[in-house]
Amino acid sequence: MGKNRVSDLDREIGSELLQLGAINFEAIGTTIAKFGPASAFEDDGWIRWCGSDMRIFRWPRPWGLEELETLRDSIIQVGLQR
Amino acid sequence: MTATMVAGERIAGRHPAGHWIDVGLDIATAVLEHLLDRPPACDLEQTEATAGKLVAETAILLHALRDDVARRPRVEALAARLLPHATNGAVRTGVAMHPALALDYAAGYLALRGFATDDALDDLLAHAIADPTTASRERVPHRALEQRWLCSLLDDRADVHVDDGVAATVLGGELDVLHGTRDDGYAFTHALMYATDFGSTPRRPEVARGIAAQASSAIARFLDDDDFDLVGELLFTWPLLDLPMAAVARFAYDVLDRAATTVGLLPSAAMSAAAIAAQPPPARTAYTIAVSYHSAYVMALAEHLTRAATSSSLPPASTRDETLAATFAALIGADAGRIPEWRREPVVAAPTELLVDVALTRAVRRGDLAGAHTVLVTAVESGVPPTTAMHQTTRLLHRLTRHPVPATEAVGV
Repeated sequence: MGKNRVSDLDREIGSELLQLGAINFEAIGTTIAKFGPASAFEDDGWIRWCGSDMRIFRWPRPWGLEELETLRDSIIQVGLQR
Repeated sequence: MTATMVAGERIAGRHPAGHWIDVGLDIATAVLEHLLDRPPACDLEQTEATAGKLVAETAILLHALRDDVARRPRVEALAARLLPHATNGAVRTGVAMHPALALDYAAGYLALRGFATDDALDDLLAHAIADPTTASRERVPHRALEQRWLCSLLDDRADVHVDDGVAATVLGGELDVLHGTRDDGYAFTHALMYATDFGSTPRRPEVARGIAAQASSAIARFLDDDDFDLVGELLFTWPLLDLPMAAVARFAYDVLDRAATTVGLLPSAAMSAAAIAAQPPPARTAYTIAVSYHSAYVMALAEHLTRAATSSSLPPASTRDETLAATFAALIGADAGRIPEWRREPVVAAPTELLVDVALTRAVRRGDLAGAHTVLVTAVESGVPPTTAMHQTTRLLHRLTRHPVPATEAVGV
């Protein structure tokens, strides 16, 4: 299905970084607030190194459709349904 | 919602003909009203919809719909309304300041040139694209092809040969339908739009059939991800190549049509009810337009382009084999997460090729090569016509058989 886009290796790296306390969540939160959550959707979920093709971090994101009836209600509420 | 659908048959009467085209034009109108004609009530930076992208993609929608006689007045009116945004000071400044990006800044205008021209901007563009610094921005092949196509929209550019850029794109080889990413899929669909000038330039029949076969397997792969936006673009393949719609494409169109009917427009993974609700009330409409316009345009183009293609002869529904369908459904297995929309229909409704391709791509992507081999053997022994996914799986198994790698060394691939 490809819903789970995080490989075992990604998980192991993430676990290691967590255990080492290498992640500054405060800085990450500030960065996301600065650039907007959509930054996670850039480049098919990848963040590239200085515009090169070197992929340094895979930003895990939920993937998939929400239930259609839920989306329909949102569309109706904002008046976009024909 | 229709209860039963048969592969190769369109469901008639769900909407009047042209419904999704009208929805696309409604959304284009909303884009102008809420996002371009006045400062948007939401922060567009939160979405993937920049003003330049909105202008360019709306212009391309109108460019593709310019031959819709019934909607010509509405399309022309929208083009006239969009033109000031496509030729404004920001565009002119961008063209003058950054020759390497001139065609990007002017993309909306160039797509609208079939409706109206701007002599001053044409002159500025001519000077910009003649500047030696245009070479300073290197692009991946399908983006380079886009540059050629945009340039070809100018007058008197017989020197621009779009075809010369095709071989370097994925169209010059083959899309990896087993492991390819969404980006790879979009590279394929966009290259085809430019290579065919949205259907105006035919490809050689044998080349066209090969490209369509890749699109068919790619549809199976991305339909299984509920990636309707990309599947919608893949549906353009047959009309752009002037081929009859394949059974897989027809099935996929109906899945998209049904989903869009439920929601009101074609849904995509970019749409989130929670994200919409999290917006301040005055910003909700603008935000929803910004995250949904692209899939609405895709559905409009899918209906516009496939209308002619759907009139060709259909494969007989009597060819369905319920036992075979059940066999491949078992090989596909259970859904790990949300049940994809295509699987909410009776399995016999799906074309056998799609079932085979989904079973193959799922097996390969979870690293179950023995399972992939079983699917392949079952398909061949059942007489299923070979698909691109079947060919690619065969070659994959061949490579790994000839060059085996210990399982302990294959981690993380």
